[in-house]
Amino acid sequence: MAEPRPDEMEFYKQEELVQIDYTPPQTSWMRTPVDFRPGSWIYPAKARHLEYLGLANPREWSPLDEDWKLPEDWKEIIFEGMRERLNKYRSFKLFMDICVRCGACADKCHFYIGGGDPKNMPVLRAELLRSVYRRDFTLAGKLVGKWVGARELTPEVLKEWFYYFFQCTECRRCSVFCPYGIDTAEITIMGRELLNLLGLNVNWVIEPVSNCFRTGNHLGIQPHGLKDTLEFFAEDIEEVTGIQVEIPINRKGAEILFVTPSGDFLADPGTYTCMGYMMLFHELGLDYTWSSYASEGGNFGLFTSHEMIKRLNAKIYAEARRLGVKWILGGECGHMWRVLHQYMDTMNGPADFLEVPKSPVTGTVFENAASTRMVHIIEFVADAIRNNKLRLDPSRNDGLRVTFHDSCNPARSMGFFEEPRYVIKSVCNHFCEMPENTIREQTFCCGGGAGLGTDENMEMRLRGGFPRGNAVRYVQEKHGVNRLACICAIDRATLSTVCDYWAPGVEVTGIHELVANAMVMEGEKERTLNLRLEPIERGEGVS
Amino acid sequence: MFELICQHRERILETWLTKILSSYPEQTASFWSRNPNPFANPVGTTFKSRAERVFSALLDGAEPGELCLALEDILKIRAVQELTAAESVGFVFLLKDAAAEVLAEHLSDPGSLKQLIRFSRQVDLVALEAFEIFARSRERVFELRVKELKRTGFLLLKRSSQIAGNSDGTHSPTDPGEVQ
Ligand code: SF4
Ligand code: SF4
Repeated sequence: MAEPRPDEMEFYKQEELVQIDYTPPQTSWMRTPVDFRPGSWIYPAKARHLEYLGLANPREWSPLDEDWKLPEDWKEIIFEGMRERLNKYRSFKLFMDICVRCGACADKCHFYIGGGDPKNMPVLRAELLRSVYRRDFTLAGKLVGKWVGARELTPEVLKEWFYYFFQCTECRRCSVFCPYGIDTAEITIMGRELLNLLGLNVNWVIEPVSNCFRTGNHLGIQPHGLKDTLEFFAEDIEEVTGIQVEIPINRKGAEILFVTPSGDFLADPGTYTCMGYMMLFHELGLDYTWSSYASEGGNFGLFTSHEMIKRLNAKIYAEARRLGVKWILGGECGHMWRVLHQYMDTMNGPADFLEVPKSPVTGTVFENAASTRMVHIIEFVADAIRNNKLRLDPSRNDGLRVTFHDSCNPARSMGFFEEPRYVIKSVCNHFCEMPENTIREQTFCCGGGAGLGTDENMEMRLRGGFPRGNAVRYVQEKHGVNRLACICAIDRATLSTVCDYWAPGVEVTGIHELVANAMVMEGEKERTLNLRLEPIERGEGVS
Repeated sequence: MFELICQHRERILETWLTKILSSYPEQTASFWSRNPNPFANPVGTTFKSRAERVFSALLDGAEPGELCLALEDILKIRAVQELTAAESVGFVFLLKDAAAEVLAEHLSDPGSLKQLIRFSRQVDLVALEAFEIFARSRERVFELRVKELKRTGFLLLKRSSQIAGNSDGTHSPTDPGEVQ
């Protein structure tokens, strides 16, 4: 018989084609060795940063190496580390014990929703640690092992921890759906803390930590660099408004110390928000100062260990004390506020040398900050607007159709839902919400928080950012949204990329950029440019 | 043109979707096919609606642009998942398998067989288009990596002398292992 031609059915060897198995092997999750896929893991921390910080096991290594150069007694280190933490943190012990595997959290993680790897289900992410806990720390595990989902700690298990604990942005979305309130983010925090005991950490976290320890900020900007940066912003502000704003740095006796994430010093669009703060403070005539030492609100210690959170956070109170301020104001940031809200007081307080924050503009006392003595700028500005202390011309933002992304930490760790919306609506005429199950408590992460916002894991970030990007695209198509506002510095960087991929045409902004553009300043020249130095588009019939 | 296939379009579409999803782990395939909420389950719902559009475009002859848009929505997702290039694009060929499977009992009839072969060749063209789109999506991923570095690099350059790590000459901001 002649060979079949391409237009004959036989040519396609249907039977063989049908036999190709597109389904990956379905092995039990406890046994699959982890396959390090490019685009899904982050470069390991460089030895010199670990040495600088006095962290364990500094060495050059790669997750792709067979041998991770672990210390000889690595197993004991982990067991001892677990024991210590189970005793110290009740929540950890509880979360290890009480999960009933109901599965309510399973399909709530953005990494699972976008990528489909079952080990990114929160319940299985936690199980990576829990299975080891069960074998060595519970009676049932010791007796009947595998039957209760217990497994031995091996280098393969460690590799899996590294792979999956650095695929969690500690966003806490899963915890909203857990009937027991189990917070997988805390389990990830513990998992990373244990990994750190063996020197298993990522450079995108450890280098900022080391920079911060040395110079006071993640980027390693020195005092003259900070001054230069702010002067650079002041020049742009003058170009736009004709006004020269002051740049108080390390000024003793100021009333307020202002601390913000350093990401806003260096990368657009955060820079515009930083300019926004400077304009706002000028307009309100605030008696404030920057600090070149506490020049970082963010705290990558949160992605390393509790001890590191404390070490980095301590500088804020130290500077407040040295400069003799009355209280502290903090900029738009996400995880910074988780640290300030949940840890600062116990770790480095009491801040009894400070006063309970009181707005010098409105007289409002921020009772909610009576303990930490640190106020979020969005509450501060919302209060100023509410009391008519700012002249605003929202029509200057008429070229924008704005939606708001609730950043995970201010939303789920602090409950900031109304203030940002109130401020945006006061300074913009066009605002609309994304779908209900993607905002407020249920907000979707940007996919790049908790130290994952680097570029070598871009595929992971993009699939994790898909649920958010998908909701943005929806309002873009439905309501013509072209601007995504947020109050987090990491978001401003990572969501710009998420939007570029999933909803091209939508740009990201901090809220204070919007505020500053709408704010009518005393003595300003006619405003024709916004802070991006683009012509202002005004809506029809509005002056 | 494709009467027989049109007659069975629902079953073919359903089979194709099942095949696409079966390239993922079992629990995932089940979640993606079950949950109809486009925001809680964006992957599953996008695959479903766009696969339907691609199939309809093939059968009813829609604008080529429309077919490409639908393909793009699927491929952008698959381009950032943990799939090989062949796996990412391979879902298109599964449509041939789906059609052949559903129409199996009709294929002894030469007219029907011819129709299936014609349809299969159309699917091949779609696959070529899918390959183009996949390549573009991958390029986009790399462009975005560069763009991110540039977004900070621009200001860095302007103020490079003030950045601590730079002045000691031990690392440069373009070292991929460094923080930007
Ligand atoms: S904390 Fe966020 S990233 Fe981590 S498992 Fe839960 S939903 Fe996923
Ligand atoms: S929702 Fe809570 S109890 Fe249920 S599986 Fe998830 S972590 Fe366990």
